[in-house]
Amino acid sequence: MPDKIALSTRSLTASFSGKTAVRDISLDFDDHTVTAIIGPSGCGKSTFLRCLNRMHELTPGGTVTGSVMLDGEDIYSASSEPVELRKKVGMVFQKPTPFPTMSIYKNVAAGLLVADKKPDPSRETEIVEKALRGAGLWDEVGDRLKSSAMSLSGGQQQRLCIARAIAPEPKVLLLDEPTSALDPISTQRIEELVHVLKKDFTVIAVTHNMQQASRISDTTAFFYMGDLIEAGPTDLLFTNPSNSRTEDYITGRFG
Amino acid sequence: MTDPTPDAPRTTSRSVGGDLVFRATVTAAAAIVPLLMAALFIQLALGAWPTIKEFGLRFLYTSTWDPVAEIYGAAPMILGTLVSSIVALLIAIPLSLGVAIFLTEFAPQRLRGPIATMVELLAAIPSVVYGLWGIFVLIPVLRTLVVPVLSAVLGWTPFFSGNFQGNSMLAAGIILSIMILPYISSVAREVIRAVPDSQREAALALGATRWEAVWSAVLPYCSGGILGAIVLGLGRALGETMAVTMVIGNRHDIGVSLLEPGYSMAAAIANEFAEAASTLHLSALAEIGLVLFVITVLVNSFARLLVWRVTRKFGAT
Amino acid sequence: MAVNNSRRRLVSNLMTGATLVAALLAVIPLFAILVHLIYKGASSIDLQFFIKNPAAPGALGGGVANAIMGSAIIVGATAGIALPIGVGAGVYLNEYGKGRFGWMVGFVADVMNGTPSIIVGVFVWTLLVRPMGHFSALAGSVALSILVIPMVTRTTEDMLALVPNSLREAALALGYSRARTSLTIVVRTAWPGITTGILVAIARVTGETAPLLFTALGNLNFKTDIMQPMQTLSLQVYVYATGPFPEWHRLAWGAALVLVMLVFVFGLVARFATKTKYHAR
Repeated sequence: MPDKIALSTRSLTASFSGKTAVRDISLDFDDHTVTAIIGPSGCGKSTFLRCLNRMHELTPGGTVTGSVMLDGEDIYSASSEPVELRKKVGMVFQKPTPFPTMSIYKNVAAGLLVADKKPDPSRETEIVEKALRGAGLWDEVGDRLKSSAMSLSGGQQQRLCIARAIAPEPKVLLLDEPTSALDPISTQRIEELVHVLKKDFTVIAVTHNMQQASRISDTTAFFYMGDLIEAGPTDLLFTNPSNSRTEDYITGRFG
Repeated sequence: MTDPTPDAPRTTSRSVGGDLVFRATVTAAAAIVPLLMAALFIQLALGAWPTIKEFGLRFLYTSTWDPVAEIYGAAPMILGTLVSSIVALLIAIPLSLGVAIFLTEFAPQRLRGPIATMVELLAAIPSVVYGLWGIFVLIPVLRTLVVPVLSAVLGWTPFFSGNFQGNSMLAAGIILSIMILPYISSVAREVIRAVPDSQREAALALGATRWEAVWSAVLPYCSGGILGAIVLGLGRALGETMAVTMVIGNRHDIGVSLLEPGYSMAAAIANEFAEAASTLHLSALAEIGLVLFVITVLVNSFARLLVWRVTRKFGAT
Repeated sequence: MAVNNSRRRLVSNLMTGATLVAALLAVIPLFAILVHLIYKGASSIDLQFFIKNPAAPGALGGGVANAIMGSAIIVGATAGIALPIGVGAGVYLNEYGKGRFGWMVGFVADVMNGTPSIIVGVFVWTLLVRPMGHFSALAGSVALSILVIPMVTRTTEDMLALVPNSLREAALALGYSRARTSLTIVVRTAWPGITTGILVAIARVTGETAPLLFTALGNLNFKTDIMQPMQTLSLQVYVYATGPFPEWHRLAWGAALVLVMLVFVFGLVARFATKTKYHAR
């Protein structure tokens, strides 16, 4: 496993209108690995994720201190632009969010419109196909790229959103509870997909489902009430947690 | 909110620059709305200044309107506006609330859509068409069918004494009532619908009849909003121009009988503004406009606050 | 007790019946007006009616060609002036309008929606007609725009508010700027609803007369110069209806029928736009 660090946070603290949601988090994410962030609801795991592509500051009252290093630069430095950053850090949300006015094709190509170098039409077609294949959706929609994205099932819509997120070839892919709105079969497909995705991306996934975390991730971080309690290799954390609260959580004593 | 600080846009300033232009453009568009409102008030006040200076408050309570002698008192118009609007409300309130209650509480599901659409279509008919219909259909009907009955039954009161002259306060009030009915009923419907179903169910569970549930559980809960709906209708009636101008009779006197012609503020402006020759005459009409404007702004603000409070109250729960 | 109960049930039934009667009474005027419009107006409508201008006072015949053209020009110019401002203000309210200024803009828009249209006519007269020294179709369009802007502002804001925030976030997460997110995702998604609101507003001002009385003024001739006085269907109805000649009264019904049909067509198109929107969802 390559252990080059793709993204790291230092003393990251995030709050809503003065109320701290995430406290002093320093965490490294290795290149081409899947990191799962687990913890009970309200523990700050989604807020933490949203700090990594500067989405948190869009929430009214949301503020961030500390730093997040990507490619040797702090994404919160004054010279960093959130809009540019987000092209490098893709995100998939809890509920599928296809753009309802666009076709399947246009949805996947949506991120390419704002790419630094806009691909020409034939290249764009290639990228869209590659992204749809990457998201495991090509076989199902390859023959109807022009139909509305809303004609897809919930699970297909979520994979379409993954395709849309990976089409611009970001470095990091953030998944915010990507299967919590899906049925078991769709969930399974996305879990399988995550394994494939880490070949090309660094994946950071928030999940409230511990089984899922153990199935998909290489590394797991456990959050509790805004604090990072413990982080480490997934098999180790689940079999031999070093902190008693981690143990309580993964053995189902709370949360 | 911590907006991204555009200190040193390094990689590209395209998006940040675009956002600034976008924000400036839509802010400018939004600023036009209150600016128009302010300009409207200032222009009217400036236009009305000569008569305000000349007649002071007398303008509001004297009733001589003589462009030749340059004496202006707007009492007949102000009173006429109020009377025709009150007549309209007296007719429209029971009807529109009846419609609103019927549509929200009693009507079979299949009928709700079509009836609501038909009532709302009334609001789509242009004022001038109401005026046309008033002149050639409503007034003849009033003359042959309605007024004889009214005179026979209520002729002893001053309000229905004397001869019906066609163009009249009564005709204006009736036309207005039809015109404001869709506004009152649609807002009332919205307000009644905002009452949580638990209110109805609680009353019904206690053994109330369907009407008792409406009367004792639903209506008290939204009475403020219903008042708001009525006041909104009043605001419409006060400023309605064309239909009123065409049937009210345009007479500069204060009469008690609804069967006689009258005048309204809006009608006076519509009739005389284009022909007003002297500065003072124009100014007098501008002052009427100013008075009408201030009244309708107050009435509408009050109504909005009432409706807003009710829909907010239940929107939150 | 039993007597009391049956009385209560009787009252309940009576009041239910009363609301039904109210509903019936409320729709009677609609039918009365429509029936008269068709009965008295349809016979006036022939080809001549659409291609001729008004005849000399007292003479027979004549049409409303000038008025139809005038309505089209004035309402078209109104749309050109008012829609960018109204939609822009609505976008502002949805995008940045959570503060005090936004609240004020929304409230003023509501209050302006209830402002008598005749007052807007007086305002535009002092603003444009007097300084320019003559009446003009442009002044009429400005007056109608002042009525359309607050309507479109509010309806745009309402429609944009229906777009789920998750769509906005999805676009921002792709690296879309705020402007691009707002215009290509949020406004685009709400567009069918906004169009409906626009059509309703346009339909309403197509029938407006009062604000045109001393701005566009009216004109018995066929004019297309926006700097000159111009006729509209609504003004034509007013002139014909209040004139002394039976021939004019006949034409008034014809013009009114055309006007109402026009207004209803806008309304139907608006309804259709709403329908397709909900099918897409």
